Amino acid sequence: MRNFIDNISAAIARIPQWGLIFPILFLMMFHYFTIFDKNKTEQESELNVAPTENEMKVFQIVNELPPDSKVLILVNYGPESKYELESAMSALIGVLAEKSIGIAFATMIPNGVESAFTAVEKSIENGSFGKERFVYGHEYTHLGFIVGGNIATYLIANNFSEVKERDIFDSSTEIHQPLMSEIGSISDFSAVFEFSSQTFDGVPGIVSFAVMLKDKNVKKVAFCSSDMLSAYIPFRGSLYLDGLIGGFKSITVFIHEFQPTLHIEKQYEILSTILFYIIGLVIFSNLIELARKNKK
Amino acid sequence: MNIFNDVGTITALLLTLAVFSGFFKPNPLYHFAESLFIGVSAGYFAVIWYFSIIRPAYKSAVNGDLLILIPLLAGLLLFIPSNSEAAYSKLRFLPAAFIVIVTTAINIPVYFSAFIQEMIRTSIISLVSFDESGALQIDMTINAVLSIVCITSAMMFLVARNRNNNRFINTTGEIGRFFILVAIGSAFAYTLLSRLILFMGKIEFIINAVRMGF
Repeated sequence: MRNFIDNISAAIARIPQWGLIFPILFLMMFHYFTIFDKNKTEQESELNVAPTENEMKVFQIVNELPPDSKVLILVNYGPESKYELESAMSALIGVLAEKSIGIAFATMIPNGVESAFTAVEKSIENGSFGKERFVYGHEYTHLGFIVGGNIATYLIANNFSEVKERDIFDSSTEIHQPLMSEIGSISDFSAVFEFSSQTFDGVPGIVSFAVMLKDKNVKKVAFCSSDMLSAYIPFRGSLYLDGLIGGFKSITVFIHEFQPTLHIEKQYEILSTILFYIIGLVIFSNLIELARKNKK
Repeated sequence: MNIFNDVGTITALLLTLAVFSGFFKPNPLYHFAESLFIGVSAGYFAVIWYFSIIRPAYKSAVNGDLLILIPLLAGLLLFIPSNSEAAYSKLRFLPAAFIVIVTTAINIPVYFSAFIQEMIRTSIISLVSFDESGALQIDMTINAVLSIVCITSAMMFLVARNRNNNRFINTTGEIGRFFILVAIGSAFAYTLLSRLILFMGKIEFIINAVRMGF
């Protein structure tokens, strides 16, 4: 038995680190071409994860947004979290557009500038986009990169009229954009959403925004990537966060609820399988290590 | 539409494969992609900073708002070499001190409210939870008990463990150390998950590009 374990240990020790990528790739490819091939239609896509109480709270906030109101979306993620947050944002844009809710985008990080436009594009390209026209300046606008981290947050929370003066293309929002001419202060928005893959000086952007915000009636919802979950979770259920969709599981549940045609379930299934593989690998390598120690 | 007509997609595909080739060992293709990425990022950030800060400031100055010259001057002071022995060299501390003071002034209330006040408030929870019908909510109760044990034991580990020979405090501190390690472990696991999703997205991009191309 020990010889057998030794042989396995020696064989594993010979595998180069990069070799571990192949089983992951194999699993990914295998699942990509097999999962959901038999149920391609929207109705048949199923997700075996029930929404939690916190996720239901976000569903409720989104569903209760009054039609024709306005929301602010802070796009604080770049290409590094595109695959997690972009689908969630395009799903949200789809819902808001369907309810004729005006959207103002702003970003507090330089590489978040493009993210809003790509999410809008993705949402429009999606077959089930519920609006015939989605015009810049009328239905949505982009206020560009607001420089300064927490100082930018302070400006957005308390001096929004200054922030909204000019859009990303440096044109006056008062003159050219009917959407922004109706907005005077942050209180004119029904909700503020943050899509985030980073914090500012260790504080989540939406939390520092909420601390500085005087009007406590504005709903504050955060969507964060998996690596930011440990920074956002402590504020779940606090006064500073009305709702949190954090990590890939919650994002999958959100997209499945609001934009099932994006077929996020497939990625979720693949990821779950790969994670099981990694956990198996960790347990297996630890067992080998244990066997070696026992022998000594 | 044939996706291979799209030059951007082909370039992205080739560069993705070039970066992935670094998994095996660094090679010229990988180094080329790496250098290109650094160069393009630097260029992108330069353009963003120019259009977000320099251009609006210049326009303000041209339109007669000369107050903008004060931050410009302060910015230039930061470039005074630190090894300069000239009398005016101490002026470089002025903008640096201003940045530190303003940042601290803004961050202290945020930190206090978010990390101290709100964390204490959310930690005050009832140990036993009941639903509307009066039945015991076992999951919520376990969650509450676990939260209290985690918080007190972690605080015991960080504050009192090394200053006390009391066996109870030491044992509780050890439990706290376990919970701190679990927190660090889960943060690491979530980071790994995030990178894995990014990797999966790139693989999906390659598959889609190849599928639509042929």
